[in-house]
Amino acid sequence: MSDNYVLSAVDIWKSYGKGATFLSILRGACIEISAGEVVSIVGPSGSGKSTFLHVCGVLDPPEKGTVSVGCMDVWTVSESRRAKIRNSELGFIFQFHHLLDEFTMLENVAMPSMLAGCSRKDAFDSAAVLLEEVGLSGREQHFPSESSGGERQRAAVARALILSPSVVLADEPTGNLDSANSRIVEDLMFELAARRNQAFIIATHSIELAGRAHRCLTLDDGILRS
Amino acid sequence: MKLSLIIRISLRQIFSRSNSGFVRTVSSLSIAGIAIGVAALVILNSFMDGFSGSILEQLSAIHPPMEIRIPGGYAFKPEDIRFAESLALMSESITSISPVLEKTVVAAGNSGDVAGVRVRGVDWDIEPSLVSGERLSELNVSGQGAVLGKALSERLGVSQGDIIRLASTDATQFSAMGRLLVDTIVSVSVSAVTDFGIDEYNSAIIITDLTTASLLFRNPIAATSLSVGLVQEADPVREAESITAELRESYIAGDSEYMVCDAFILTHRNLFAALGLEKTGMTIVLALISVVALLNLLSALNMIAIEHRRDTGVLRSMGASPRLIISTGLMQGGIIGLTGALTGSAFAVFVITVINEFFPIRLDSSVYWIDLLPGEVQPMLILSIGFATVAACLITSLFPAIHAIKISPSEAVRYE
Repeated sequence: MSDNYVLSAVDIWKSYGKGATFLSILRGACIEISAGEVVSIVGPSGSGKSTFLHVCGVLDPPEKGTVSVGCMDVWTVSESRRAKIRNSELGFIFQFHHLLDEFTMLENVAMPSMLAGCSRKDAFDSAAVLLEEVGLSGREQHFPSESSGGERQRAAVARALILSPSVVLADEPTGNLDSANSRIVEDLMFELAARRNQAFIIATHSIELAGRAHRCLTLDDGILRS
Repeated sequence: MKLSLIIRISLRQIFSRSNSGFVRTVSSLSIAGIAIGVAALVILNSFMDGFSGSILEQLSAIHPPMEIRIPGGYAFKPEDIRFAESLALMSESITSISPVLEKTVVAAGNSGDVAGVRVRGVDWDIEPSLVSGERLSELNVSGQGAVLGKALSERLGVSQGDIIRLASTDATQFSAMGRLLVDTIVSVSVSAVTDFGIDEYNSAIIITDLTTASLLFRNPIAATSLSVGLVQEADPVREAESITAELRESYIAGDSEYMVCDAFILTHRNLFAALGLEKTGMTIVLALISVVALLNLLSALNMIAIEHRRDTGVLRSMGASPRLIISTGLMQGGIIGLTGALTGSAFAVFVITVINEFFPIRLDSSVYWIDLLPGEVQPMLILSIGFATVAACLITSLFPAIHAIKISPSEAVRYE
């Protein structure tokens, strides 16, 4: 693996079920991504896009293959070390915003910083700046239930970026948004990726979004193809 | 460990805003369940301890903490008293020793009715200082005279200043027909009528001076027992054992008569053991309330864990360690347990105070010895119950906490 890659996944295999319900989802999928690069992954529903992102995001262990973040093979280290990698090196944007309902927008965005051990004040200051960047200034003390779908997803983008991770994994980030809000979130991601030199892996059904990426990969029969 | 973050996450999840406050209601009910369990245990133990403490207090107001006697009911000779006194007073915990003459006699007054009573002759100069409380000293008795309980004075139809007759029988005179029963009748004026606090004492005990009591014995004797006074902080059981051991050694060495020293509380151990057994039984029954509350807590914490399954996955994806997740689960149990314990304790103290102050529990003194059941607020008891409750809640919360870290973050965050 080249040291230039911020994330690389090599020969990833993953299956579900047993016997009659056995389903092989990933069959040797590979990806290598450099800093600032935006890669989109397309494929039909059930093709394994989310599974692949979860394996790359250190949420789900592969049956076979290696995932390296920076120079570290993440599935050979302890769970607490993996937690630190998820915290500092990776950011997640889910299809459904997955903000914590009991916390305000500001607290949600600040959460990764607080988990990293930052003081409440520092975390809130950083979160407030990011909320402003994504156009949500004035909404800091609102709860997710008091915000629109587009606002929640923009807050989710801010949350994923607060610790400036090297890779952001976005699973259908515009899947639940109308076209106007989709456009806003897409623009936001590409602008921030370019400005912060962060790598993005975006799983999407949207041809338009996939087309804006630097590289577009198709997950077909468990393998990623260009 | 980010303790403040763990507390914040725990509090937000316990009092969750989502699902129309359902989680919040279930959490509040869990706290209420634990509070009721704690309150029940505190109230029960406070009144049971108040009951036994009150009986002990009433008994201690008449009886000294320790008594030296000669087994078999034999009387003390003056040299026995001197020896016991010199030996016992070597201990720094013992304040003084006073002879006592006790005998069962028949008492008659103005009503024509007679009563079998226990006459206890004491040295009025010393005895009040040996017993706890001010009951005997407040009577201000000196010289010759008798102190009666209220019930006995009513039965005999006498009041302060009246004369009562005490008749004692001894089988000490020999004749051609064998041993004869000889009656001794002593008249004594009533110095005071008092409430001894215990119904049995009010109806069947007369306290008088040593001179009057000695007249009831056909052959004058020095004492039937010796009252021993102790400093307040001394342990009567331990002191009694120590004195008994020394008295036994003296007896073996041939220096004295065989004497023993009894702690007053041990002479009534059957009573206090019975009260203790009753308290244990009731505590076990009421502890079941706490067990039910803990099961309720387990359900609530499981529900909170299931309700926040997705949040747990999201937190894991953001870098929350398994340690943080398990700590959050334990913290939730701890918060509910602590809140329940504090609420329950406060409620119990409130109930005990209100009952003591405004709705005192009256008892039939002929059945329960005392006529008022006091609740004793005991900080150590409350602390113990509270600590045990929080510990039990933490242990209970371990299961949902461990379950939470077993949730696959990948499964939890999948969009459904």
